[in-house]
Parts: sequence; structure tokens; C-alpha cells
Amino acid sequence: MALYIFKRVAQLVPLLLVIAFVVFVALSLAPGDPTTLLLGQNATPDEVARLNHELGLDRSVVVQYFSFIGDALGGDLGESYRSGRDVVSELGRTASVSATLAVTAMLLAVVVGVGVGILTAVKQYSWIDNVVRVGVLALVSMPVFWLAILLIILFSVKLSIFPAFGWGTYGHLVLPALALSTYPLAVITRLTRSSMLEVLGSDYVRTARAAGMPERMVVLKYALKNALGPVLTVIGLQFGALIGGAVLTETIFGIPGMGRLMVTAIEGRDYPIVRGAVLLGTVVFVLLNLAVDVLYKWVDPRQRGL
Amino acid sequence: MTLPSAEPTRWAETWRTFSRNRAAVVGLVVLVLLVLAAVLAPWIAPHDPAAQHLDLRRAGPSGDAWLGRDEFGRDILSRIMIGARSTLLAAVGSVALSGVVGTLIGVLAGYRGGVADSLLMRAMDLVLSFPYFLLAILVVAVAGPSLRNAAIAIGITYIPQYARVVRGATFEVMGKEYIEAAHASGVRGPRIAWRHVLPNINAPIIVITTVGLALAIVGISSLSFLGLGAQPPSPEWGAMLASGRQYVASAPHISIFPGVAILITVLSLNLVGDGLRDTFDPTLR
Repeated sequence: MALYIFKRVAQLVPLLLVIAFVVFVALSLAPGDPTTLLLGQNATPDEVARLNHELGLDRSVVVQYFSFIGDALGGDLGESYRSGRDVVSELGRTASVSATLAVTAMLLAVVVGVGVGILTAVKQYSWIDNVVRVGVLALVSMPVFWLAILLIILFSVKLSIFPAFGWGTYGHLVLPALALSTYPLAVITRLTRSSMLEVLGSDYVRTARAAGMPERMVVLKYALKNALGPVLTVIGLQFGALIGGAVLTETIFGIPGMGRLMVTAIEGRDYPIVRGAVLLGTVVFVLLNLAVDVLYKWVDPRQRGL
Repeated sequence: MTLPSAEPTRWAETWRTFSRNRAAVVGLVVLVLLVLAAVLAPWIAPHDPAAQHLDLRRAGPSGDAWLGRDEFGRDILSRIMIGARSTLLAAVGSVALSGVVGTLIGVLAGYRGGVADSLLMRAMDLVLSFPYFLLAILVVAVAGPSLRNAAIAIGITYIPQYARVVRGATFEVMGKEYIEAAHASGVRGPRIAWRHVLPNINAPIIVITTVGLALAIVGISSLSFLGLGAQPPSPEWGAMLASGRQYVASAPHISIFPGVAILITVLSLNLVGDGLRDTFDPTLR
């Protein structure tokens, strides 16, 4: 197990270097050079050249990349073209907000999704199963930004229960977390249901039942533990959707998180911020999926030999 | 060389199985109506979608304008109809990009195997290691915000789905006797891929195309909503919804109805997708 984790972490290093390279090169191709942004249209060629040199932009992209990686390892992701502020501290300030939102939404999705998934598997073809199936399909088909607006209209405008805009209190967290949780919630529900159905039909569950084990224990102890593997994997993958959904949710609810920071930075062509945000989001996603793989092996001994 | 009439029978049978799934048929009918509405929009739209009536700004639904009017007094129903063209075309273009590139990569990897296979699949893993929406945002940040670039960006993120499914299916087909027979009779690689491999893996391709269209509509309209896709005054649905955002308190219908259009379209595609999956893969039922 320790060897497996070590091997997986070792494989991460080249992957992260390549990801950083792709992001770096892509953004170096982006239009609008930072010097015009910083100096304005009327800068003399001399001034432009001097600034380019100061920022290191007169070097080749590959050289720039390696110096970026060197700086990044020392905890320096450059400075914002717009505000001049340190990218790392900008990300730190906003990432904790995004993490709070994303983790709340994911907890909600996992608790409700796994619960409803088990319920509908146990009561297959009942009315509740049918209602949930339609609901799941509607939820995965719903754009998160539209759902967010519906929640605002209902709970903020009409009922005035929760604030529609801003951040800081628990009340501010409710609607965004609800909107953000729906897509992973629907996917997790669907997968838990089908995974449970498969396990409930298997031989060892039939044996447990035949041996006279109470149904409650069969479902919650035997079946659930074996059905959870695929669910774990999909939870990891859903974090990817969640990171994207957070960008939209933060924009709609005016939450000062990383997603909104990134969208504003794109509008302002503030590429160091965009680069930092995309990289941080991707690294978090990759690490979460690694954690899920490790957890999968730990939960399901059948996976360990592989 | 044409084969005897095995093909028509197979498709007729597919249709018979599919048509037994009532939800999927409803989805298909809605989709056909949507496409018709988009194509015929200039003739059947109740109002000129671009005509502004400043005295009717943000007017709610009425007998004159069933879905109400937007912040410039334009008829929302007419704009949704004409906007269906941008939304659907962008989604089709986006999926065509991922379909063509992903299928080529998948066939090549599955057919060649070896180093080509592992290189191509590592590249696909790289694309998948990004959260898909961040990758799309990155592409749009580089290429500039427009509906076309949003479609390309979303298309890129979906390439690995095609590559993986097609590669797996190609591997499976490669072991069949008719491929060996084709090899033995001297048929060249690309021709085998085109004539013998692709026609035999079209079922999974059709399924992921349907699902891909649904994802593309949501993805592209999400980018437009953020201002990174279609720009106003485009009647693309995500952009329409975004422009109504500041009036949610006084005129919620401006944002609600374009979202309903997205929901109906994506839901229909998902229903059809589920139906197709059941049809092609009876073991999943």
C-alpha cells in the first residue's frame, strides 16, 4: 500500500510539469502583451523593451517556463499585471472561500446522493424510485447558473429568507452550496443506485440473506461497503465538475472566490492570475483523484492486488 | 462492394427497440420540433427578434408576447427561436470537432497499438486531468471570447471521451475474423479502418454523440453566461440569460425562459441518449 502511494505520487511529478507547461505555453500565445497593458498605448519602444526585459518576457518561452517552475517551487507564482499584488497571496485569499463553498456542496451531494441512492436501490421500481429517476434526469439537464437564478428569485426575492449576493455569514452559503451541489448530487444518486443494485444481486448477498442475516445489515454492512468503490471514483471525478460549477456560482452570487478572481482576470488579460488559478484548480483536482484512488484500494481489498 | 441487405434490417430492429422507450421517443419528438423551430424561425417567429420596443421594455408575458419582452423590448420567444440556431449550431460544431479528432485518435491508437497507442492515450489523460471547465476557460482566455471559440474550447475537452470509447471498440473489432480476412486480402490500413472498423463501432459513437451534444449546450451557454462565449446582442441562450440577470427582481422572465429552453433541449438529448444506450446495450437495461 505504501509502495503504491509512493509510485502514484512519483508519477504525479511529470504530469504536473506537463500540465504547467501546457498552461504556460497556452497563455504565452494569448493576445495582448502585458507591456501595453502596464504602460498604455503611448509607451515608447524603449520603455516597452525595458519592461519586457524586467519581466523576463524577452527570453524564449522555454527559458521563461523553467524560471517559472523554479519560482513556483519556491512558492512564487509571479505578480498580477493589474494590481501588482502577489499571485500566491491573491489565490490564498480567494481559495479558502472557494474551498468552503465546494466542500459544503460536495458534502451535501454525497450525504443526500448516497442516501437516496441506497433507498431507491432497495425500493427498486417503487414510486419513490420513479420520482427520483425523473428528478435525477432533470437535475443533470439543468444549467447550474439557471438553477442559481431560480433559487435567488424564490428564496431571496420572493421569500427573503437567504441573501442573494455576497459572502460572510452561514446564510450566504446556503443558496450557492445548494445550486452547486445539484449536479454531483444527481450523478452520485444515479451511480449509488446502480452500483447497489448490482451488489444486491450478487451471490454473497444472497448467501448472507440465506444465512438469515437481517435485511438492514445485509444492505448497510455487506452491500454498501462493496458498492462504494465506484461511487468513490465518481465523487473524485465530480470534483472536476464542481470546480467549474464554482466559477459560475461565485459569479452569480458575488462570492469573492477563486473562480470570480479568474473570470475578472481573463476580462482584464491579467494572465499571471489566470495561470495561477488554472494551475491551482488543476493540481487540486489531480490530488483529489489520487486520494480517491488510494481510498478505493483501502475500502475494497479486491483492488489491492492490482 | 456492397453488402446484401443486412444493414436496413439492423436499423429497423434498432428503431423498434428504441421506439418502445416512450420517454426517449418524446425526447426525440421535442428535438425534431426544436430543430424545425430553429430552421423556420425567420418565417414563423411571432415578432422580429431584433425589433426593439422601448415602451414595452421588460414587459411580462402577455397575449402579444407569450414569454414577455427583454430589457430592450424585444420579443423573448422570437429571440429564443432564432437563438436556437446559434445554440444548436455551436453545439453541433463543437461535438463534430471532438468526434472527428477523437475518433481519429481512437482508431489510430486501437489499430496501431504499441507506442502510438500509449502516446496518444497519455495525451488524452493529460486533457482529462484538467477540470473540464477550467480547460475550456483557458482555451477561451487564449483564443478570445466568441461563440465559435467557446464551441472549440468545449469541443477540445470532449475529445478524450471519443478517443477512449473508439479505441476500446477498435481493439474489440480488431480481433474479429473479418478484419483478418481484409488484411489477408491485402486491404490497406486506413481503408480497413474506414470500411470495416468504423461501421462496426457506430453504436457507442452515436451514444456519446448524443450525450456530448447535451454537455456541449450546457458548456457553451455557461461560457456565454460568463461573457466568455457569444456576445450580446447575440440571442444565444446563455447570453440572453446573462443579460436578464440584473432584472431578476423586477422582470425574472428575461432570465427564466432562455434557461427553460436550455433545460428542455438538454433533457430531450439526455432522454434520447439513455434510450439509445438501452437499445444498443441490452445488458444495461
